[in-house]
Amino acid sequence: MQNPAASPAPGRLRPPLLRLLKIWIWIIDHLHPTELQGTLIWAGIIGFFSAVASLLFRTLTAALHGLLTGQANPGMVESFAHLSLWARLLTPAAGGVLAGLILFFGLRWRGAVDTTDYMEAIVLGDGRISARLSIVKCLSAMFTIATGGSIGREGPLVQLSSLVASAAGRIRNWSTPRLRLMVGCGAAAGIASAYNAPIAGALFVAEIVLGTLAMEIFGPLVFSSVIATLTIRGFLGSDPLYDIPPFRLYSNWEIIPYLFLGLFTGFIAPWFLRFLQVSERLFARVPGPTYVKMGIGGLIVGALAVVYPEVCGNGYTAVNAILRGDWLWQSLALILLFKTIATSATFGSGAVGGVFTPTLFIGASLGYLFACALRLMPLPFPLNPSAFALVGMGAFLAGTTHAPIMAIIILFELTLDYEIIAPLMLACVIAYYTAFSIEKRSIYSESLKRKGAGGFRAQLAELQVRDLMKTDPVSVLPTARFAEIGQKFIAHRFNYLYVIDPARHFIGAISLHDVKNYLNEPDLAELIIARDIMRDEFPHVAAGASLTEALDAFTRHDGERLPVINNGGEQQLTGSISKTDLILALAGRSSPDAAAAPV
Amino acid sequence: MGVRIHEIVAENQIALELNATTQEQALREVADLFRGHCAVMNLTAFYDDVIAREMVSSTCTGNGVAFPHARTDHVTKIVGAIGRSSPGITFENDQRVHLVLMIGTPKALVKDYLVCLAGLAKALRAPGVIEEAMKATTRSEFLRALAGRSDAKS
Repeated sequence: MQNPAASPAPGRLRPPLLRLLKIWIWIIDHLHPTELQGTLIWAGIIGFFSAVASLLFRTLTAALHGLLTGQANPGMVESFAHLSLWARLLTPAAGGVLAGLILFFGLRWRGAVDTTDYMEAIVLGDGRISARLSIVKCLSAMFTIATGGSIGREGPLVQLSSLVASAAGRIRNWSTPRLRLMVGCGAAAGIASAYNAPIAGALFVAEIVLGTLAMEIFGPLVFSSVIATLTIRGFLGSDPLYDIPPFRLYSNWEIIPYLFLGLFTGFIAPWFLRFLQVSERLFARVPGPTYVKMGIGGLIVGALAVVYPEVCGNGYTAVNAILRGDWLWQSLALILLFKTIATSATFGSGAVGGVFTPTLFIGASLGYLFACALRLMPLPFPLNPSAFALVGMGAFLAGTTHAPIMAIIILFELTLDYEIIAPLMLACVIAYYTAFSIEKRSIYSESLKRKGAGGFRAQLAELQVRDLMKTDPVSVLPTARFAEIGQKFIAHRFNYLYVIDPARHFIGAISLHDVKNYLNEPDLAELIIARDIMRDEFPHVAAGASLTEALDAFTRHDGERLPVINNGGEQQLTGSISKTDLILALAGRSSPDAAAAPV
Repeated sequence: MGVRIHEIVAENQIALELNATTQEQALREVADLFRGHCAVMNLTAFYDDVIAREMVSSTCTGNGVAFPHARTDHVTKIVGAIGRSSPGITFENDQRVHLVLMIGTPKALVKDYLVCLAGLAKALRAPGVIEEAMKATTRSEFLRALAGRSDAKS
């Protein structure tokens, strides 16, 4: 009997390696793992770490707020209400200056930063997110948020989550389509973490950032969003974000006022966008560096906060007050005006952050005021302004973002009340069509365009196989022995191992399934070399082939990857391309610029 | 499904005593056993493929058996021929070979090729098989000595 401790004969696999290879073969035969399944697993991992990053950001922001204001109350409005009038005036101004200094010194290498940046409008590009840029922006946003600036924290949460995904992808050396998708998963996880809304998180990225609902892309987004939401709930509980009153339609005719609400909010939405742009242009004329402008923006917020501290922060407290019906319409109209000015001053001065949540506040205010106005008319059914506030949030969001599906879903996720669906869907769709007919650009269009959103998508249309392939594919020489072949199958977990001659000419591939039953044969281990067991007629693609040509090649091949050979007559192996990467790239290419065109 | 040696080696493809004294002569003499075989379309080209393969890596298994083989376009099914040398022939690495089993396989039949080779190699490792084969006095007796243990499983 052979001594198991003895070295195996040349060409034979060591027993531990043989066991590993058999386990891998069992997994392939019974579980049929694909690259898409691996993508889903990574989407979940990114969702978890994105949620952790979100929690860290929230904790640090709350701590900074406490440090700068001396207030332990994490609620911005409650906190400012306890400050003296001078403190209310100067805290946002000081925060603006500090946030501006961070941007000024942190981004010096990029020149002056004086354009509006809604951070949740993440541009995927090639999936490589700059760590320095992201951290500088998030730090700046943290100071703005902590000192009462009228911006949302979802922007930095999206940026941080995307950075986590990008970093993971660069460590794992993912292909560009896979990296873009993972960054999208990070962004979806960021939105989901901010709102406890997994579906909305996935739809936000699908509709606004990517402009596609292809399942190859949407599936991983959902996975990431759900894991992020569950993680957040594990730490913070599952209490709803807003105090949502029960929604009830007393009559089917009540749909008609909601229809008009959609028209109303859809009409206002483009004007809100233009107001933000006017503010930006006005601040652009202010001489001085970024921190001076942001200080002025903060001072404006502070001045408004002296009268109404409700203008501070992202508006959560104010929305809850609207939904409870705490204010008379006259007060609310003033708060709405002040909040709009505060938001435009914050963003126009150059502060970086999220515009999503302030938009929800404005929509809630518009809906509530609309209902108050309608109540002056003799209607055959009662009107609940709080219900209109709810629907107004969704409709205004649809009108500003041009993403009606996302708006419908996020409101549904926030309320979990099916009664709201009919008026909500109607109002959102009408608001979208109305807004789009007035202004083709959404609130994110300019931001995305400045960051180069359309550029990479245009590049996708011109991509060739060489742009997506992984270089240096695993291969063996024709003289490779069984042991080397088995080790490569274990180390790289491919189903096919390419065979090249010493000049790197591609000559065939070895299928794991051809050899799996003979791994234990000692005689074959001594007799067999790679050229004995390779398949000569193995499909491949040229490096210069188009993506559709490559997809056609996959129809003749049952594997996940194909070898790529160079274009000349030499047939040298230069890389390998994955079917999943191909599908992701084609899915990303097929959609128009989401920020500019209707979805 | 097992592979029996007589399914790929007919009595006409057996040489009970090779005249060759060198490796090259032995391979040529065994290859000549395929002359007139209906499944061997081009004997010269097939022989060249076997030699090319043998030059890349030795096919001796260390128990006095050599398995020169080739996956080739010049056969239409798996074919085999065997040559026996009582004094033995010195192959590469100074190995003494008494049985030369030449196998030819169509290129497309990778799995069948592995089945065949695995079965034959395993059969010839069985105790007493080679000794019985070396004692056989007729081709049929020789084939029976090898066939009795040549159940290879796919």
